[in-house]
Amino acid sequence: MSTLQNISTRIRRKWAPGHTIVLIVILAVAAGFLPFVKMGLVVNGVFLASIIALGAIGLTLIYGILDFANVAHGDYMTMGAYVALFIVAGVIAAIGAESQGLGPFTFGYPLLIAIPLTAAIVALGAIALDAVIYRRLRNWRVNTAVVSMASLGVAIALRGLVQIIWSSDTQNYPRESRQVFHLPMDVRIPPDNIFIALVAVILAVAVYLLLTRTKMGKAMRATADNPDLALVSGIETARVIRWTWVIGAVLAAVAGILLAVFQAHLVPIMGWKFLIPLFAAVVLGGIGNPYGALAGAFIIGVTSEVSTQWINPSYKPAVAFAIMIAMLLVRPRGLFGGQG
Amino acid sequence: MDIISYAAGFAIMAGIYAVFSLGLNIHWGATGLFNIGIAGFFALGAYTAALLTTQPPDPMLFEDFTFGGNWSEIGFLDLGIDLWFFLGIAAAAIACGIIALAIGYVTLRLRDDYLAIATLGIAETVRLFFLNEKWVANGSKGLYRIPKFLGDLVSPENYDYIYLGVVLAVLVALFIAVELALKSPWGRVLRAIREDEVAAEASGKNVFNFKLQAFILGAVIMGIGGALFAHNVRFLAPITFDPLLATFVIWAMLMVGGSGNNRGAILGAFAVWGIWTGTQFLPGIFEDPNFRFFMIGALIVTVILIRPGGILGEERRMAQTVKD
Amino acid sequence: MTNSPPLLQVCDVVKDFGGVRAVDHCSVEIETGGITGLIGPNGAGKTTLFNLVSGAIAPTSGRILFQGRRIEGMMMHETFKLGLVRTFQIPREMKRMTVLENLMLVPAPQVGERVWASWMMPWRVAREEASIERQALEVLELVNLAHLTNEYAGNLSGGQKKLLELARTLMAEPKMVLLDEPAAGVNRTLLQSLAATILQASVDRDITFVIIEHDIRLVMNLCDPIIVMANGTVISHGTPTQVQQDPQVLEAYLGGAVSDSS
Repeated sequence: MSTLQNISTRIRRKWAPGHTIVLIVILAVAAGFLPFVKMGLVVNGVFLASIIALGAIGLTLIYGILDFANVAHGDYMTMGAYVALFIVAGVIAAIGAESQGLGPFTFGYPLLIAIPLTAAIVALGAIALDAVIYRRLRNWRVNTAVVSMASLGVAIALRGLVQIIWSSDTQNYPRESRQVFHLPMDVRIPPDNIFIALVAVILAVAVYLLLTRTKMGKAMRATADNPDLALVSGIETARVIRWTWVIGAVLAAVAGILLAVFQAHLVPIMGWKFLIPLFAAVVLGGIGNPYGALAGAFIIGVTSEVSTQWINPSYKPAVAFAIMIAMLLVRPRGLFGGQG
Repeated sequence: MDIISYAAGFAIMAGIYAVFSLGLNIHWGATGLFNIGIAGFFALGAYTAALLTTQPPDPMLFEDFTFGGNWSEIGFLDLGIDLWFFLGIAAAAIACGIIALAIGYVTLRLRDDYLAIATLGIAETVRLFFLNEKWVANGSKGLYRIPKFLGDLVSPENYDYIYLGVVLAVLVALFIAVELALKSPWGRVLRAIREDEVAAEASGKNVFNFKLQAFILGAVIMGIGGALFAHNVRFLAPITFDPLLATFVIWAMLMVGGSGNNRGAILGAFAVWGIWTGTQFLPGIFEDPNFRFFMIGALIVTVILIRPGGILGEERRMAQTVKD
Repeated sequence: MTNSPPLLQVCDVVKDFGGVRAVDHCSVEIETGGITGLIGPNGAGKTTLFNLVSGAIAPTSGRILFQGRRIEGMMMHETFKLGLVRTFQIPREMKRMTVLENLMLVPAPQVGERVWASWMMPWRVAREEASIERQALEVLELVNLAHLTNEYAGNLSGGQKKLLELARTLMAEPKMVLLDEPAAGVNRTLLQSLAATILQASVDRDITFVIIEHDIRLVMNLCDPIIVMANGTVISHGTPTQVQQDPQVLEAYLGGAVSDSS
């Protein structure tokens, strides 16, 4: 009995990260071959999932390490999308550089410049907010809900700021072309989505390497796994927290840009609305577990996209929410366990 | 005259917001429950009351709205006293109570912030429901001709004053009820849970059960607030329940007024609503509604950092002198 | 009395945290009455045993019986209702509630704990409150905290918080009280009155105490029998003299490397 348990936990520990995710991706794509599921929706879901994943990995790390639900995470995404808009449509145009279409994509090379710049700006902003707000609350050892409350204030203020600077109207990145790739099984993919998936994969791999190969990454995982133990074992908390914000903000900023490209427009509320799938993915994967968040993102992305075959597409957030509630009923600690 | 009627309109809205602030004070101030989906209860309460009281469309007039409710035809409407108005409020309260029971049952056993995520989800789900299910409440075009309290018995120019009386009466009644409840041993258990769940559990309190009760009571009060709102603006559309004016502002009200203090909750509602509506007359940057949006967020953060208790803060309960 | 089962029976209880076994096939019985001392080196599993018995956590395997009733896996408020109350090693007071309120919270069941009680029967609630308050003030006298009645519990010193924890258990009118290091941080002068209070409560109120304590002198003076735990299980159980002479105890403390004179 106990040996059996031992073996099963060992298998779970060894297999959980990589293999389960691969399994879930395979299952998701396989679902597309079912006669009653449109392959196009599954493929679209995978693209959506890659954006959710970027946001959710950051959110779950912040959740696990700083121990509060960062309600402002969606608005960090919004910030990212708009800062990139400012760079693409404002700065680069002002310099006089001519925007050219980039291969088959709807955007030009300015966006490629904008992505790292935006990520850096949003990361700096996140660190500044931590210094002004969250660090004090940590020192006062307030209740985690109060910290979440503060992040709600930050979320509102950020959106207000976005609306002051860029107005609350719908906007979009300068569009250079409009093409679609045709694949078998009646799948049509806008080239932009390939770009989205590519960026997401590069970032996910980078985060994976960071978490597994660097000392800082290991310290972060240890803290997310068991904050008290990490504190005891002499991990430098301040540095871990700073890096958590950097990673979370970079991923959020890029996710925001990709979301704006994916839905082909920007609105100030886009990030707040995106919180539901983000949190659903985090809860599904288990709080503090980045691999879980990745897997959760795939489940949420593909399911909510495929659900549009039967349900009004605008119910997508409700579908994500329903999956999350079902998960909480069955396995409150998420698929792969996490802080309960 | 104009100023007085403006003041009446202002006081009605502030009074309605005060009802929400009281409900949120039970959630957050007393129990520490983090509800960021007030808009969901707001909308559910408002729509429930509206659907129960609004007359069905007259096919002869080719009115371009449809909805599922024609309950008011049953016949109470002509009784002179507007019974349906009160039934609508009660139904709104019950509807919100049931939803709160469902969400609370799933999430209140888990760590604190799951409730926040779930309320966020339910707010969006309620909004999407009323947006997409056009047969219920006319979708995005909205539900209008929601009747006044007492129907046409009151002349239009006096309606605001009558309705202000109704709102204030409800507010006072709720204030007394909530004040009594929070000062009673029941409220003491809630505060104990807010301070330390584990210790409350070790003191023999069924923490889950009390949290559920608090969540439901707060939601019921929010439902009443929603119903009062419906009969004031008399037009509802999903866009009415934008998180800014249906969730965020209420949070700012409670935090500014004094979380944990019912008087503070009401004071905060009037103060923040005063700032919100007052600043639009100021020149310059205040004219920009987006700046006020930013201000609401900054206000919440500032209160948390500088004066966590808000203006009034929680009262300390002293020993009553016991005579032997 | 001879035929009645022990008040508390812990039968072959195991608790794993991940890969770590905190309590390892632990069995112990505690009879009604008296003050039992629970000692052992740090990490012996003493507090974990308290957590298991009080219902803060559920055992991986094994049975726990209180008055012959199985209680393993119960919630803390359920074991509380059976008359089993515990304190915490690090005091968990309600910071923004007064000392008096911290105590008035405890008695159960209170009529006023129903939502509608304050609306429907305010007089009954008021009467009940008055009597609970009287009870609380008495207990505060007993533990020497009367002068702090209206102080916020968060403003108390570490030692005063410990006394508040003890007072909380007395408010519950329990059958058995588990005290986790009640003397830690309590100053020397208060220590004597603390011991006296515990002793008095055990006699006057028929409370069975189990005390985790690192102050060996206090344990030897106050407790009989004494249980010694090491590596998650009981290694010795007897009178203070028996335990002191048990070679296994000496070995456990010396082998445990960590000194215990806190």
